[in-house]
Amino acid sequence: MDARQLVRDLLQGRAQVTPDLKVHLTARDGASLADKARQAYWWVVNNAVLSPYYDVRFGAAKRVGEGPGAVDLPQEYSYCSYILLPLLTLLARRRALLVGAPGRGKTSIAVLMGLLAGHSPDEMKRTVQHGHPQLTVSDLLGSPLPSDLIRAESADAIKVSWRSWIGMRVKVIDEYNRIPTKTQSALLSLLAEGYAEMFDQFVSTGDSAWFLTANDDQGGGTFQVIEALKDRIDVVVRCTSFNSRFLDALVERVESGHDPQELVPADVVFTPEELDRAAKEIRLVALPDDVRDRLGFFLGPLDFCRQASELFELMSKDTLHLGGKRLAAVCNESCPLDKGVHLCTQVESGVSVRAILTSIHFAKALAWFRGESEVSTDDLRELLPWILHDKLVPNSQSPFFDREDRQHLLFDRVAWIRRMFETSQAQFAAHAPIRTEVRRLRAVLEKGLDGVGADEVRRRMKEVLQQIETLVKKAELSGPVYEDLVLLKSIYSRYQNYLNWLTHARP
Amino acid sequence: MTLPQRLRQLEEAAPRLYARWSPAAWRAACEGPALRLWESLSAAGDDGEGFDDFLLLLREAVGLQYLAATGAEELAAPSLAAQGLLAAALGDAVPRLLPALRPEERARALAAVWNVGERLRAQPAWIDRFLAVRLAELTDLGDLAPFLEKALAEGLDPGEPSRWKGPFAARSLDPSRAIRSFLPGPMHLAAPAVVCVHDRRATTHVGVLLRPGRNGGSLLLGATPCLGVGDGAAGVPVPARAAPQVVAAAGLSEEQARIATRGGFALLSSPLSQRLWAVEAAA
Repeated sequence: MDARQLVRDLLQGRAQVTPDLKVHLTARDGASLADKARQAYWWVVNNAVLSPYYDVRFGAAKRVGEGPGAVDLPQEYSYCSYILLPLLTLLARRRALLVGAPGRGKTSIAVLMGLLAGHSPDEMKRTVQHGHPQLTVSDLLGSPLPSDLIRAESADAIKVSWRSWIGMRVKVIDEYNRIPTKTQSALLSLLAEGYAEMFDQFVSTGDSAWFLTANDDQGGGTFQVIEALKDRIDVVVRCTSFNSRFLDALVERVESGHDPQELVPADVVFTPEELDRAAKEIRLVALPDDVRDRLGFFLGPLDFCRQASELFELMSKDTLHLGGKRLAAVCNESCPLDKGVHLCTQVESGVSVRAILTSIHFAKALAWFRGESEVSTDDLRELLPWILHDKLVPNSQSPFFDREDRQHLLFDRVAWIRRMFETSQAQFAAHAPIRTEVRRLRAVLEKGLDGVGADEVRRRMKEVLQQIETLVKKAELSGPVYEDLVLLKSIYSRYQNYLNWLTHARP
Repeated sequence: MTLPQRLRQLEEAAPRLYARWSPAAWRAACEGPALRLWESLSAAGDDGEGFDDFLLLLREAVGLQYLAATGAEELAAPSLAAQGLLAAALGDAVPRLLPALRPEERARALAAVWNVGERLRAQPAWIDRFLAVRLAELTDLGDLAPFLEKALAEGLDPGEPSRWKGPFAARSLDPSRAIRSFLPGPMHLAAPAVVCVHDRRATTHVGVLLRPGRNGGSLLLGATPCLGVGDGAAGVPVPARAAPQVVAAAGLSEEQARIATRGGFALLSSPLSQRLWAVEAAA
């Protein structure tokens, strides 16, 4: 290290001297965006939204007491889901639904996210879309210019005055379950496809985070929310109730007349470039094989139902639903699987690919926020209940829920999904030897078949066959076993197709 | 605008600028360094050039938590150095030395202080803490860069390889002046000539610069966080034949810990004393 060079480098900072001999500090750069995100989180927790509910926890916990009153004390970092999830939604540019009773601060937290994204308080106030029964598509999206409507000879000559909120980086739709069904459809195309169309003209939403609010998520609004719109929501955030120990802070707010929304510090406000960079960094966080495997082990088997069909490939809850049946019609004593052990009995249907993509994206966002370079199982455990909250529906007639100490799980979905995930992780270890071998066989195939001779293919097929025989004979046909068997069968089929191609005239 | 009005104006705007704004630290900074600088500028009949720049930098430092305090007494020189060079400069060196500069030199000097201090935070810990402690020796704010170069060169200088021949000269250092209850424990080199000494029982540390007697002798750097291990900071064993002489030079009958450098310095501690002994072999 050269002292002179080092000092010379140190002098090149952001403090500059202006021609009139004043010191000018330019904006700080080089600070980690994850640091900034954490700083924003702590500012919101400490100043804007008073929430003592630290329900997202990492590391082991120290349990105090027993039974329903037991308290788990975190030994590492813990966070309020109510604030953390909206922040991750902003940074990963996803869509969150904030649910809770009136006055719990759903709109406030959504507006705060807009302020953190650099929108002004006035801009946010003007652009929050308030759902109400008379909200028309024009109210939501904009309308054609009246003069054009008279003069135009074709639709494409009509200019549409699009509403300004559509292009904002943070979009807030308040009480979305009070929006009429037709307007919900217009909202759906914005939310799902990222554009809206009117008179042959299009407007794009750009990269943005969406925050929708609802007083409850069970259709308690004026209109039933269309399923497709519900399905586009990535994460459900449950707003917490006010803790009376924070009354002094409210008293101070009343006395000072200050609203925290007017005091968002400049150093936690993200520029558009920073938000773009954060979104990119989040996608680059690694998802290690083991964590990927655990996620698959949990989500994959949820769709399995061995009673659904006699055909191997159709043993899915989709088969039941397409035939107009509910899971309860077949998930009874005629199925030999233990309902206390196998997760397939608890859920009415499996998880869509969209939900899996969302889970991966949010897990990466959480790992990034925590300053980690890769996702851990803890990230999944803490996030999945909120992502799958509205996507997994319990099979209320499952014998699993008959026990009195499990009946609360039918309405407490966060606890239910977390418990299912933990059960699945406990089973993961027992199933690991089979899964490892199946993974090895798949890896061999994925190296490619170029130049592989017929004898080698036959040898590999024999290996796959042996594994299938072991599974069929020694393991009970459950969700995880089914997933492995489907994979092994596909591997076998691909080898067989390749062997046919090698040994017969090419089709 | 009067000074209290200006201070209030800066404070009122701060919560909109900084997420970690601390009103207590700002008030401590105003009552301490800001007031000292204002008074010395006023006493000299100065027009106060540079004072407003200083306040803006002070506020930025408080807002970014480069400078933390709950009371003005925490902004005294020795404890400031533990927060890094920027805190030591804004809390002590600038109020002490800025009035001596010509008005037209002040903005440049303040900008240099800020840039060095802020960018040092991204350097290995020992450099920031080491230079923060050495800053107390600065006598001319306009000479900041050459001063830092010289100080840094001393810390980085491993010296010529020593053959550990006598005579040996020892210098006693008293860490209890920095931390009253400090008991020297394990030591490691943070840089070729900078030692980090850990407390035997607590998680406190002091730094020591091992410097030849002709350049002023070894220097206690005061309380620091652990200085870490920088490049080229590897200790060497004292040759067996020289070890008794090194211990004897320190006047010790028993040693607790020892670390030696390639350049012929050894730092020793005793199980029965709070002191440290820096022993220098003749070049």
